[in-house]
Amino acid sequence: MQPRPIRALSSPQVRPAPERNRTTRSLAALSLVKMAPSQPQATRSGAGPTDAALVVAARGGEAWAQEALFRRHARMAFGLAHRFLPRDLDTDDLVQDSFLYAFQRLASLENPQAFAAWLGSIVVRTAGKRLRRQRLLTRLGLRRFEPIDLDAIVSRAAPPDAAAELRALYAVLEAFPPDERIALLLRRVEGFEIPQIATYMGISQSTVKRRLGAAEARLARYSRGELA
Amino acid sequence: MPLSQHVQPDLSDARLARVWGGVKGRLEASPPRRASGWVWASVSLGCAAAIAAAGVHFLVPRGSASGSALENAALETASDALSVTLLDGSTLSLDSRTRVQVAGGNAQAVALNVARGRVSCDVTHRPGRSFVVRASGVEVRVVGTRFSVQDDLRADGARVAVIVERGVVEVTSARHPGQVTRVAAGQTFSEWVPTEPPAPSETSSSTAARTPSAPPEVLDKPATPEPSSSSEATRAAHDLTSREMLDAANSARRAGDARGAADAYEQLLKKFPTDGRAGLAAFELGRLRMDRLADMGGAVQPLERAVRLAPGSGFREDAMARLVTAYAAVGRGADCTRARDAYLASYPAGVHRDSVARGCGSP
Repeated sequence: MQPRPIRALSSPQVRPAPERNRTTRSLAALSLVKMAPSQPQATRSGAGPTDAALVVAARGGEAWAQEALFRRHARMAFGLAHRFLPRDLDTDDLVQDSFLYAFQRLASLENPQAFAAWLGSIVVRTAGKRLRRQRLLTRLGLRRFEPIDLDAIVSRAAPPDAAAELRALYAVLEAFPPDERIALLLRRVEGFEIPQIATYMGISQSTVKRRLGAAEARLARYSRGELA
Repeated sequence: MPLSQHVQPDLSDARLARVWGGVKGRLEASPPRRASGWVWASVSLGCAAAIAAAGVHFLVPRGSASGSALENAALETASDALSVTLLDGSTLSLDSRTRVQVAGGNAQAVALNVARGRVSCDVTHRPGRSFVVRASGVEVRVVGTRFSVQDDLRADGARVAVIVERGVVEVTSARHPGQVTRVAAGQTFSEWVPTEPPAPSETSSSTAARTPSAPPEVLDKPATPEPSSSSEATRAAHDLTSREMLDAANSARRAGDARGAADAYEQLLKKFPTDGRAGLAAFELGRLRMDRLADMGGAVQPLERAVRLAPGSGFREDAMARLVTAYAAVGRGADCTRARDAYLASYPAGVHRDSVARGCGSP
């Protein structure tokens, strides 16, 4: 079984090592691998391979490891995607795009054991891009606005107060700028703290606070009937 | 509890399968690509689970006779193997604990120095292009072939071995100037290069006699020795990576050596119980024992392990179906029923549905 080559470098960005520092620089010049000694990953009995083991196998071109990662984390990804883009077709597309992006860039994941959180951040950022594109297309008249079916989103088993909060939120979210919408969903629905939101969105904590502040203020104006 | 628990998508197996099919199809259509920056540097630093082979492309500038980006580059592996593919399709495969220095790397000339370990080269013939591999003073000049060069360093010297699988290479040695040895497919060139003692002026003791190097050998041996017996597979196993062990086991299985293959899969599972390949090895072991070694009882444990180790694998359905058969064959009725129900729940439209449904002999 030959290791499958993975396209990782492009020639124009590779620089030859300077003569005076051949050994050290040469290792860095092509970013060639000096792999750490393998550490056997302990697994709980019956838990199967760790994410780290699956990531490493997937990097090696093992298709079964990619599928294993997909099946292990699909529910999480679908859940996140659904809460950002509640329409089924949008959700499926977002999940597909996110996994594709993750598998194509698996080599850039520095901590293979953090695959789940990394994937989550990909879903969040890809959702942001989609929402921005949808908003632009809607403004340009190239996309028909479709209101969210609140009955379909909120579980029938949800307690009344939770259902009311979710309905109130989703009823107005379509009108929010995408970045505020995402920050608000991560805070109110996912229950993330500021640092986690910052990591998932790839922004600073102060930016998260600013966006959350704006989103909460907008939400308050909607609840007071100041905005339609 | 977060509100997210009340906003959940309706996820069916069919929906998961459809989305996975889309991901898989697009992955096959477009291979993984580099993220920004130095991908492999960021991967190698602090990577604690490097157990699979990885591959890297580096590009030889087309038609460039000037110094290239490859000049002075080094390839080094620790416990992993590494493969590198050149633009012309030639590939270099480094075994674990190997270091190769690229002394020259442009479209017209590729020169590699093997500092230690083993590199296998599958070289595309290009007229006018020089491809040379050097190890401890032994130089291998390539025309278009598949071969490997191994530099086995020891305290008192190095054993350099050149194994040619296809084509012909010419080998010269600094210790036998003027002598060119042609090594053809199926032959192995081997030379012992003793460690040179320090020059007399550098030592405080009396002059040490130089030990003449033994003449090189060209041996008619298979380029890729195959495990012909279970004991050979077992002895060799302790030095191999999981990938190599799986390759050896698969080769033995394809060659018809069921016992040798089974032993090799077992060794892999013992040595790398949590490796990414362990699930597949367990499945293959279970299959061999069922189909070729008439050992239904011995197939149960590896099949159970395959199901447990690789929950999302492509062979999981087969493994679960085979478990039903194995349990039934050894008279474990309760386990058979449980496995049958598990299969039917996981794969209601599975390819083995009908046989599994009848597999335990009772509804």
